Amino acid sequence: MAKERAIAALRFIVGRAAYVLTLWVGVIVLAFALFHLAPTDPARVALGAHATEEQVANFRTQHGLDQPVPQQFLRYVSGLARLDLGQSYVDRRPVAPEVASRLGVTLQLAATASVLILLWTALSFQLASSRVAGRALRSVEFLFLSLPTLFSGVIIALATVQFYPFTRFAATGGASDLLFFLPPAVVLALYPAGALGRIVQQQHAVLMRSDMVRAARARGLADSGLRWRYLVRNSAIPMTAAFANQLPLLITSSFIVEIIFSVPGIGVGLLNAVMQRDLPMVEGIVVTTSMVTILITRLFDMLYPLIDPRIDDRPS
Amino acid sequence: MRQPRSDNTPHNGGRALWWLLAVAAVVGLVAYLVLRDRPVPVASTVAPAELVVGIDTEPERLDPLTIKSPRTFIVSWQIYEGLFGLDDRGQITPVIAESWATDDNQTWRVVLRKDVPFHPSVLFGSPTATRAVDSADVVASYTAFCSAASYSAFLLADSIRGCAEHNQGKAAGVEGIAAIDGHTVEFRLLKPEPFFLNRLTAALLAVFPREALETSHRDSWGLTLAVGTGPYRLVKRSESEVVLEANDNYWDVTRRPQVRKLAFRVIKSDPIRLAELQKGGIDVMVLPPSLYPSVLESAGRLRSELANQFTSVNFSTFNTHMIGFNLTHVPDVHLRRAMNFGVNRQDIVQKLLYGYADITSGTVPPGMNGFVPKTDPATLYNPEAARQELAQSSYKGEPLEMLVHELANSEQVGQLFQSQMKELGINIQLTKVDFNSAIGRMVKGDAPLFSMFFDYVLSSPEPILLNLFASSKRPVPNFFQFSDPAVDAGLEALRLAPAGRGVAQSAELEQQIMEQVPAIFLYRQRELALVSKRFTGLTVNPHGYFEFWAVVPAN
Repeated sequence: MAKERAIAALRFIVGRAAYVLTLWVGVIVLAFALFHLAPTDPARVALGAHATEEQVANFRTQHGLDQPVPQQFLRYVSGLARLDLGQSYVDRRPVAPEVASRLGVTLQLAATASVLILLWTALSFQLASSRVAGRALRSVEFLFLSLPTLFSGVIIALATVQFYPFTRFAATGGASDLLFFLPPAVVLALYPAGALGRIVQQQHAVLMRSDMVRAARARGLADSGLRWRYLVRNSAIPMTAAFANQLPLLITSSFIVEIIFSVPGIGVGLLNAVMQRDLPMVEGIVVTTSMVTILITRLFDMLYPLIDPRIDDRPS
Repeated sequence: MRQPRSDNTPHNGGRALWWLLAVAAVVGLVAYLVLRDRPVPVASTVAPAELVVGIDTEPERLDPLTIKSPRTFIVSWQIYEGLFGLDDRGQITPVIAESWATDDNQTWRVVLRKDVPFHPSVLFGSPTATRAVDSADVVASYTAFCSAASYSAFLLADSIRGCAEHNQGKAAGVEGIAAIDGHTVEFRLLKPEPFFLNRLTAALLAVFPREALETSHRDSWGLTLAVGTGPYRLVKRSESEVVLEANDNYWDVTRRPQVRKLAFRVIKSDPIRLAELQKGGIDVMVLPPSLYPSVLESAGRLRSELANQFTSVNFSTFNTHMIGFNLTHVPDVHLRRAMNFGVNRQDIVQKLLYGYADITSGTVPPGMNGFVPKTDPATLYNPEAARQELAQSSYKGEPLEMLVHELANSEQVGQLFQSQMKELGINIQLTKVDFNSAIGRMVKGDAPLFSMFFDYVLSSPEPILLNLFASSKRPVPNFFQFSDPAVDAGLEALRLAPAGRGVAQSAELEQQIMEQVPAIFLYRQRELALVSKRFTGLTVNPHGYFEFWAVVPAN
C-alpha cells in the first residue's frame, strides 16, 4: 500500500514536472523563433552605423549568426541547460547575472504589490456586509479597475515626488529600498485589488445567502465568528484561483510601472534591450521571466489540495 | 436566545465604519512617521556635499571599449581621460599627454605627463593601491581600441598602421603603436594626417589601466570596476544610480572637484525628473525638447517661477541634424536643390525647439574649428529659387519615401519637411521605423531620403569630410553614396595641407560638395540644462563634457 502511494506520488511529481517542462520548451522555441526571424541585423546594431561591412561580417561569424537557424537554436538550448544565457551583443556583459539581478527587483516589487492586494482584499471582505462602507469600497474598486496603469502610474509618481521621501533606490536591500517599492507597488496593485475586492464581496454575498450560513445563524453564531470560521475557508479556493490569475498580470504590468518609477527591474531591462536590439539580453529576459511565471503559477495550483484536501487531482 | 443579525443592520455598518477609521489611522500614523523627518533640500542652508544629476537612461557599461552613446559621456568623462581634449573654444589641449611632435604628419610622438595616477583600485592589488600612467597603458588602450571588441575602432582603423589588420584578427598587435620609453608613445599612420590629434580628442578614446584587459576582470570591468585618471572616481554603480567621489589625487590641482560626491540618478520619465528637480531631489538635469513647452516661455526664456530656483546652462555640442539623400535613388540634382531651397529651417527650429538650435547649411557644425558660415541662414530659405530648380528637374510628382525614427525629433522634422515640400509640389511619404532599422536600411541603400542626426566625436572638419564623402567610404558611413573623383582628390589633398591651411581647404571642399546637395543640413541643436541655484560654475565643452569639477556650492 505504501509502495503504491509512493509510486502514485512519484507519478504525480513527474507528470507535473513534465507539464512545466513542456511549457518551458514552448516558451524557449517561441522566443527564439520570434527574435531570430525578426527583420533586423543584430550585428549591425551591435557595431553601430560606422562599422564596415567586413567588420559586421566578422561579428556574425564570431557570434555564430551566420550559421543555420537550427544550429543556432541548438547552441542556445545547450547554453540554457548550463544556465548560460550568453553575453550581451551591446556591451558583452554576461546576461545571466544581469537578468537575475533585475528579476530579483521585479519580484520584490510584485511581492510588495501582492501584500497590498491581500490587505485590500481582507479589508474588502471585512467591510462587505456594511451598506455604506461596502458601497464606498465598491466605488473605489470600480475606480481601481477603470484607471489605466499608465495614467495612475504617472499621477501617483508625481504625487510621490512631492510628498514621499523615498524616491531613490539605493540597491542596498535596506528599509529605504523597501519603502521605495511602496508607490509603484500601489500602482501595480490597483487593478488586481479592484478585481479581487469585487470577487470577494460577491463571494461574501453568495455565502451569506447560503444554507450553511442560515444554519449557523440558527445555531446562534454571530456574524464575526461566522465570517472568519466559515466564510473565509469557503472563499479560500476561488480567491486563491483569482489571485493566481492576477500573477502574470502583476509581472507584465510591472514593465510599465518600472519605467514610470525608474525601478531597475526586468521591464526596464527589456525595454533597453529591445531598443538596442540586444538579442541575447531580450531572449534571456523573456525566457527567464516566462519560466518563473509558469513556475509560480504551477506552485499556486499545488496549493489547492493543501487548502481543501477534498481537491486531489493526483491519479488514483 | 440570541437573534441572528441581518447583514445590513446599523450595528454592522457602525463596526465597518470603525474598521475604516482604524485603517485610516494606521495609514496616517505610518505617513506621519515616514514624512516627519522629510528633508527640505531647497530651503537648506547647509553647503551641499553631493551634486545629484538626473539622467534619463542607465549609463552604458563604463568600459571605454564599448561606450557608444554620447549620453554616457556625462558620466564616463568624469572618470576617464584621453591623451588630448578640447578647451572651451574647441581647440586641442593636452590632457594625459604633455607634448607631441611630428615631422611629416605621418609619425607622431606623444610624451606623457609623469605625474598622472590612476584611481586606487583592486586592479593594482588592493583597494587603496594605485600607480601612474605609463606608455604601456597607452599602447594597451589604443591596441584594444583597434580590436574587434571596440566600438571606436572606426576612429582609428583607416588611420593607424596595422589597426585594421588587428581589427580583422590578422595581427596580434598594432604595428603603428609603440612605446618608445616609459612615457613616450609613437603612432605611425598609413598616410599623413595633419589632423591626427583631432581624432584623439574623441571622448571615446580614453586611457585605462592595462590590467583591466586581464581575463579575471572581464565581467566586472565597466560595471563595478571603472578606473581612470579623471577628477572623479567610481564608488558605486547600480542600474538606478552611479555614485562618484572626488579624486583627491587628481593630477591637475587647478581642476580638483569642489563637490565631494557626484551622483547620477536614473529617472526615466521626463515630467517626473523635472518634478524631482523642482522638489530638490536632483540638482541638475538636461531638458529634453518634450519639456520645453512646460519650462520655457514662448520667447525661449525660462519661466519666471523656475528662473527663481534654477540657472539655465545653454550649451552646444558637435551635432548636426539633416535630411539625407541616397543619390542613387534621388539622382536629380535640381530636385535636391529645389528641396534644399524650399525647406524653411527657421520654421522647423522655432516650432520644435523654441529656437534652441543654430541653423546650418553644411556638414561642419557651428563652433567646430573650421566652421565657415557660407550663407546667411536667413537667405537659405528661397521658395522662388526652389520653384526654378524644380522646373528644371525631371520630377513628375511621384512619391519619395523618407525614413523617420523615434530619436531626436526625427518624425516631427519629417512631418514639417513633408508639409513644406507639399507646398512646393513635392510628394514626400514618411515611413516610420526604429532608429536601428533606419540605419540598417541606409546601409543597405534602401532609404531614398532619411531624417538623421550625427553626434560628431571628431573635432575637425577634415576627418569628418573624409569619412562622410569619400567614395571609398560607401556605403558606410557615406550613406549618401556620394561619389565625385574631384572631391576624392580634394579630400586626399587635405592630408598634405600645410599647417593651418587644412581647415580653410576643407571649407572650400565642403562648399563644392554641398552644391550637389547630398544632404540638407538643417540645424545644430543647442541643449539646455537646469541647475539648482544651490550650485554655480557648471560649464559644458563642445564634446559634451560636463565640467562638474568646476561646480561649487553657491553659499
